[in-house]
Amino acid sequence: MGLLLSHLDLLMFAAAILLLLSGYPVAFALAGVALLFAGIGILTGHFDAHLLSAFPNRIYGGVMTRQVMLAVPLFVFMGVMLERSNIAAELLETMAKLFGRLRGGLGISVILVGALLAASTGIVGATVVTMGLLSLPTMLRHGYSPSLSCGAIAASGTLGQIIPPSIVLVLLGDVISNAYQRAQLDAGNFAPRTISVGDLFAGALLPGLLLVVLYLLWMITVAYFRPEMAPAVIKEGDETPSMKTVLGVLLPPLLLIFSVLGSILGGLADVTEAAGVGALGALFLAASRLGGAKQKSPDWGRIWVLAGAAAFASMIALAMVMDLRLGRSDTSIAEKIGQSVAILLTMPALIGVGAALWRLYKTRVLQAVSRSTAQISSMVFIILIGATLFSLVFRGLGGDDTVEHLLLSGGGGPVRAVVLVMLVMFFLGFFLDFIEITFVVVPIVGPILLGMGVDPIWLGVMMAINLQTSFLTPPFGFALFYLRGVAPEGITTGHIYRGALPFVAIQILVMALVALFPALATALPRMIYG
Amino acid sequence: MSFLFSNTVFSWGVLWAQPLLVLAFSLLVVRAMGRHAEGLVEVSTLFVRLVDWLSVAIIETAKWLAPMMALTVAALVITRYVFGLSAIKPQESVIYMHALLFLLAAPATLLTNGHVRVDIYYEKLSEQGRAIVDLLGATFLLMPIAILIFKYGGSYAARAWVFHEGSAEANGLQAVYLLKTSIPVFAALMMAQGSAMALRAALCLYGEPMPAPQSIEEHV
Repeated sequence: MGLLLSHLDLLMFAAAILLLLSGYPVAFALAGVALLFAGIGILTGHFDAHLLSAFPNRIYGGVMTRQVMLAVPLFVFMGVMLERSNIAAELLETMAKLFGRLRGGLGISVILVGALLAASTGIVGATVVTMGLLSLPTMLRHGYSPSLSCGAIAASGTLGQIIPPSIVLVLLGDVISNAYQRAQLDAGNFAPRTISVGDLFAGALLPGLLLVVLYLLWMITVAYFRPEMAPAVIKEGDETPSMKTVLGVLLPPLLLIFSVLGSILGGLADVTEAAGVGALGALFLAASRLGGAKQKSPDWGRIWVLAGAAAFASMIALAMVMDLRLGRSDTSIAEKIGQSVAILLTMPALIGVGAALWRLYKTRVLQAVSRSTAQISSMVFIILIGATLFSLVFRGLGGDDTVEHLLLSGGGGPVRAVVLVMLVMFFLGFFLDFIEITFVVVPIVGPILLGMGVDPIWLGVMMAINLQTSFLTPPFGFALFYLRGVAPEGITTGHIYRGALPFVAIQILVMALVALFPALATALPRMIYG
Repeated sequence: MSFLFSNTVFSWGVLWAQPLLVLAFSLLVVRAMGRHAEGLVEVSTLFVRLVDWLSVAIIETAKWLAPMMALTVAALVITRYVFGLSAIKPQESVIYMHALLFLLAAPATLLTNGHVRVDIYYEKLSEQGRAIVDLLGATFLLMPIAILIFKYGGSYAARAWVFHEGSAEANGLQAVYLLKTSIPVFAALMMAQGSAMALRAALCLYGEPMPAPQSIEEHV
């Protein structure tokens, strides 16, 4: 009994896993187990009851008013808006036509669209389901091998987590940044260096692109050696889309994602600001796409939306070339003119926003997107609240000492500790989503690993790739389950498993490369932020 | 009222054994005795409908915070980046919108099954099996947590009310006490929706299932 009581922390972890498997919502299962063990701890004198009264303050300070977290609902809004306005479907269709003459061309389009889109939502299930519904039937109809199609879709659906700007990178970046501060404070450094979400975005960029390139290479290799698995979908003589159509479909979303990412990496805006502008851009984009091909002409609402977007872009462009700040005494004539132009531009910009909102409201897209945004943010942050209580109690029971002991004992230093943590996260990835693992595991192991001198950005990138790999790995990978759920008849679990394996191999290869050459993750942030 | 926030076993018990959970377990007892109680079923259905209606009404209002938040942030970027102007009140309002958005959307998200589950086994359970998981989970995991947040959050907010706590910034929003009040309000709403979940599960086990909507759209 005494032995059991002195290991309440580990028992709590085991109990949490068992209860999670029951299927009760994760947020409440985590918090409920924590409360139960806090109760046992209080009764047996292993837990200080006063720690629990700090909980509301943790909710207020650590969840409700945590600055970086503001970016999450904004990115969700942007992603859901892009999804609901059929932009994903149009992108895929146009790309397929563009690459359709090539063997493997459709597969290439699926991977590219996955990489682009996923950039925004970052919830494994959602992206895999969307991609599966959009592209699996098309690929099969054109004679693609079922296993290759399934593998490509599952892999490109999870790709979005590692390619910035993704929500999970925002969350992971913030948690790692806190862990880094804690590690330095524990080491007696009271002027700690900080890392930001932008750093993690920059760090994840190269490994993410490397993954995309390797996925594409695999698709091309298969198409070259086994043409029957990935045939060309457009036969000679079919018409190809004009350059104008291709640009019209590809350019706006590309521009949106690049400007969001560029303004963060370029240091122009913080993550929240960029996310807000991205959300506004998605609003304009969706409003201008409404109605599709059969538009009445001239469609004044649409013209106002486009004018509004143009006005916004011009204001920002103008501010890039000259100083428009109001209330200075040394404004030159040119700058005064610029200021007046910018002030005048706010009128069409505001009318454009109004027109966009009205169009989306009338078609009920705005309602649906807002509702989804509310529910997805709630899902994310209620898990954070549950995980907060879990870590609070886990620490109170002495859990961080236990984990530190496990990681430090037996020699091997940081390498052994990192490998151990990665393995645990990989297995947790079989039944927990990215968000839960980030909130529960990283705050506990992060400070210990970082205290051993592990680079925070490298660690974040490794964790992200590791989890993504876990979601793809048969037989338990999350992504595979979701794909199974939306796969048409005739697709067996075997197809999905076989198709995923080559992509898992690519993931492991990239993880090994990042492990051997940490510069892949750390060079870019160092170059940008110094 | 104030005893509800005190930390006695009695006050925990009162909050836990409120009418909805009592109703849920009465249904099960009636069932176990092999009897029927149409009245009990009717009252339960009514309760569940009422709570569902409340949660949906709340999210249907709170959802507008999402576009408001996006527009406010975009406007702040333009005013700061283009015109070099900044104001603390609108900046802080974004935090308020964010916090209220996810707190007020939580009950409706519970209703439509939007909070993530590990469904490796749950998916394979029968309807009754799922009802048992939901009943036990709502009673012994969700309710205690909601009560904890309600009690501690309540006294946390009460402390902020004493001196009408405002922003740390001189010209910020002077409404931190209101924002903190949203914590016990959220907890109370979760207690209601959590009991409705238990009641729904009990109705299912009783043999009068009342499936939850899959989406708010379905409910609206």
